[in-house]
Amino acid sequence: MTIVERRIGDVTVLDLQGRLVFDEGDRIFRARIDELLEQQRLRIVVNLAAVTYVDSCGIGSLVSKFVSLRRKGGDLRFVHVTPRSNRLLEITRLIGIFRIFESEDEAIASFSSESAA
Amino acid sequence: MSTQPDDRARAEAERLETLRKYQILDSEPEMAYDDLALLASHICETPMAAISLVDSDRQWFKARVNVQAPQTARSISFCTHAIEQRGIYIVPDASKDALLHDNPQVTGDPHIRFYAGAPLIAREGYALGTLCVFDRRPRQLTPTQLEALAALQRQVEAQLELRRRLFELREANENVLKLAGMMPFCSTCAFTMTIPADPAAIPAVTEGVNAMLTQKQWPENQIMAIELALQEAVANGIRHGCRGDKTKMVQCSVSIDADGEVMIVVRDPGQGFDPANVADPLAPENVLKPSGRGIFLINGLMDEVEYSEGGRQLQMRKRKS
Repeated sequence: MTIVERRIGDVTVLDLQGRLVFDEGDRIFRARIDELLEQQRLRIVVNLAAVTYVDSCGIGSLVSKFVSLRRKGGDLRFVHVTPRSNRLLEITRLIGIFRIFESEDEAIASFSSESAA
Repeated sequence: MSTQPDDRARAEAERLETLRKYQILDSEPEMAYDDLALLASHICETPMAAISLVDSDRQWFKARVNVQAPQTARSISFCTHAIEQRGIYIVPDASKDALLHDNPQVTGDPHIRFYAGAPLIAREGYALGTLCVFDRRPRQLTPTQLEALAALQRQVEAQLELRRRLFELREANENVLKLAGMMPFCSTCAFTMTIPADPAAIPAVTEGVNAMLTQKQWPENQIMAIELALQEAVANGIRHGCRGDKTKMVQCSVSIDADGEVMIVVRDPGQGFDPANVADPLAPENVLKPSGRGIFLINGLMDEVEYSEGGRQLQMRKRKS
């Protein structure tokens, strides 16, 4: 798993590429979010377009970091969720909990309508 | 080291558990070990040498040069001190050593004065015992002798590792035969793999299944479902069954029968678990939990899922649609 980070205003966009699975992928993802949490960058958009594979650990890492960010007043939002990842989020009933957007612009804009975290 | 008593007790329990894996205590003498002990005594010019293994309350000798007793109490053992440290433990004159001066092996037979013990380290990092040389007179080892003793210690460690690998291979082989025996006779395509409990080894299995099902022209969504169920099953085996210990193995057999049903068996060496006690990840209080979705996914992705051997073995099936 590789993660490319882009910063657009106070929103951080993470382009994930590869397998979000036990244990390398989920470890890398968790570590990156922890770094952002430390830097108080709490508005994060995760681009899942190039994620080829997600397992329960990958889902677990998304949930765990979603919860951490929410607790601090931030959020983890998603864009370009592939049908395969979407199916998994449906099965695990996370589709109604995570905020998922069709385009990156929409995801970023969704934060600007809210007061600063 | 400022380890707490609890930590020490736990480390000692783990050290003993590691020692048992070699199945060497009370085994017959073997020339490979006898030769190495003999070489150590010749090179270090000491009348006595031994390969000792430190058990809970005794030290037992796999090889002995001019040592009469097959074992001694741990309470009077020199080696028990040697395994407390890394590097060769040297006592130039035991009669003047604060720890050992009143040891019965010093005050009485065999009147040990000089002792040098090189700890034998297991792959987990625990010291199992020593390759040691000793003498009835105070003395030292030359730098060349120390170097040679360390080289011989590595040879003893290599012998021990070989012995353990042999037992592990034998066990893995027995399990593979057992798994293969469970596969239906009519299966048209099958493979069995034993992988180390290392997450990096999972793709070898999942990609193997993907290739097999693709070749059999299974629909893509079904291949994905099976691949994910397998990923979850093997990951569970590694994480829970082997507790991430990369020296342990997870076994996996896959077969497709002529009617187009895939059957997968995944087996780990762990303590097992009770599938009935697994919490429902869809319950409102669990939806935002970071873990606990693996088994749920397996159950949802496959047609039939069955646990046996106390949860150590998972058998799952799916029919081609």
